[in-house]
Amino acid sequence: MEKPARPVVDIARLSKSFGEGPTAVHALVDINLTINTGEVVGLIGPSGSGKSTLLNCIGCITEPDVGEIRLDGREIYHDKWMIDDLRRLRLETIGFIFQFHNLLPFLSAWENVAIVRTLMGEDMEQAKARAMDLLGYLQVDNRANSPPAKLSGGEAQRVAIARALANEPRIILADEPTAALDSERATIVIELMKKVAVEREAAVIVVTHDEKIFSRLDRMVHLRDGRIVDTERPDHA
Amino acid sequence: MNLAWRDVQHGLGRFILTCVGLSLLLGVVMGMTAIYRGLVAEALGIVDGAKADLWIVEGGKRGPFAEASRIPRDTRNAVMVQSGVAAAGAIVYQTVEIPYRGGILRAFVVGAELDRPGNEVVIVEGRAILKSRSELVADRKTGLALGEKLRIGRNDFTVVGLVANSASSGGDPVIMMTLRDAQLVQLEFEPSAVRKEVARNPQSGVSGDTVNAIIVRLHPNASTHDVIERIRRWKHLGALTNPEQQQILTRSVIEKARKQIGLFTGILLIVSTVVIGLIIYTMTMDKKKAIATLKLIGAPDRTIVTLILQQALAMGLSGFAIGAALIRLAQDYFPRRLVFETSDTLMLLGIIIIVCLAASVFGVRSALKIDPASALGG
Ligand SMILES: Nc1ncnc2c1ncn2[C@@H]1O[C@H](COP(=O)(O)OP(=O)(O)OP(=O)(O)O)[C@@H](O)[C@H]1O
Ligand SMILES: [Mg+2]
Repeated sequence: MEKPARPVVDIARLSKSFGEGPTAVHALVDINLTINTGEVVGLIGPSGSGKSTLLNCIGCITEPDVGEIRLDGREIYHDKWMIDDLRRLRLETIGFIFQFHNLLPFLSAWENVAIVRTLMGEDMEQAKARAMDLLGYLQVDNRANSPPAKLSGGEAQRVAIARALANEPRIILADEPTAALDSERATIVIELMKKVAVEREAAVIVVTHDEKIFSRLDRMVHLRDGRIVDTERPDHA
Repeated sequence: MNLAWRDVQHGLGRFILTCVGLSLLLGVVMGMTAIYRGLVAEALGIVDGAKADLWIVEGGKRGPFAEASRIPRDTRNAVMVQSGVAAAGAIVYQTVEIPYRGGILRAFVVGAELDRPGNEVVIVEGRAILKSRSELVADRKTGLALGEKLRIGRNDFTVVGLVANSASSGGDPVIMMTLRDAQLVQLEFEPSAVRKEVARNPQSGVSGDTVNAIIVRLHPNASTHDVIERIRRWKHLGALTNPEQQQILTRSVIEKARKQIGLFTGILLIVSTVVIGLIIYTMTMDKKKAIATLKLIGAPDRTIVTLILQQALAMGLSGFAIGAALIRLAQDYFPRRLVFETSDTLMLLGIIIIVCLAASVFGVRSALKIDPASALGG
């Protein structure tokens, strides 16, 4: 039942420092990492170890200093950005899930999802249909017309996941997506991501401190002081 | 889905309050312009109403409005026989203050000859003057009613008709009467020195039978220049064309008002720009996180700039519309006439649009600087 996996995220000798001279912070040092379709990878490590920085570099939000990033086979970064329109790239290939759901407060749940489709150039009707599908998939379609402020934490996070999936991304980046959820919800969310990764041939990278979900990850990448210190595959009991 | 509109809906109460506040400011701007236009309309109303081709006045004077002018009434006959002259009418202007209903009625008395230039008015109520004596037609702003008796000096008058929107360049409402009646009124309101002069020497230039100006209409193909030249040959007379007369009034009455009001309007527009700019900036900063999120999910700058500009324009335009409505509702409470000209309204509309766009610059700039990564934090 294994599908042929292929690398979606491919990182080589990636480094990033903040500041200069003796006070410089080496947030990432010589990172090498490959993640395949269908994989859910956890980035784990103490605070300040560089987890968010790595995620943001993959998401083309933070510019690294040196190294290489290939996303879905495309060379994105090679000691400098290799493409001009990073936002377009994000729109087309990456889905973000944040610790706080970051839904736009002035849009309803379905609009928050549909906006991604309209930004991609789809007309409103199709975008809405797609959004409703996704909300149904995540079992929050009953709250489609609610503004984010009226949603519970779990509902909002599921709407946010629906939004992250709306562009059918190859890469899903999630920074502490379960921090605001109880353990039951957190497990559901991570299961969902696994499902998406497999069904949609996507790679999921999750920054997390949440030990409850460790066992659900395909791989745990441990960071310390900007370096990958260990990679382990938790037993799937 | 329009992001600007959805965001406005999200905070509709605040947005409406902001628009209303802005509308008061813009209403005042429109009011200032309308006051100025009213001033011009009032100042030129009498001149334009006379439909004169030429104004015959005392030689060397810029009369009869900007300077006193006094010529013998029979000049009219001499002017009439000039070739090219179609019609002429003597006219008397006198500002009066009359005790009226326990207060003082300040009015601008216009005396004109029946059936001659200077006497055409649009009666809105009642009738025109028929009798040569003791009848008057008054502007509504005087507060006089049809049939009412009014004592001016030692003479009693009956109000037989009412007109609207007739005022002197100073804004005093007009009272029209026959030339003779107006001459009597004028004599009573003259400085005493003149009266003594008249009493001592009835044949002097300031005889009792003088008027302030003669309104001349020319034949359609008469040469204005020739007629003026001929009239100026009489040393004691001067002749002004209607455009010259308008220009004199514009200079003496309106120029300062224009500067004053123009300056004030300019200041108000600057204040509006600053206010709109601050509001847009604040609105944008309130959406900082949303904008960062939009950037993060891949929205182009265009989406974000459109969002801000649309909101700025929506605010400016609703403020403009509400302001226009408010100032029109309030116009009857102003002591002097407000005149709204479409060209002014359109111009202000254009300025508001530019102001909104200019005021958005700070908001847009700071929005474009927002780091998408800032959406990631708490
Ligand atoms: N924009 C920045 N400017 C300066 N220093 C930064 C910046 N972003 C991150 N850093 C530094 O880089 C290091 C790695 O930060 P990062 O946010 O990646 O850590 P993290 O592993 O995500 O930590 P946490 O678990 O607390 O979120 C830290 O020392 C941090 O102070
Ligand atoms: Mg972090």
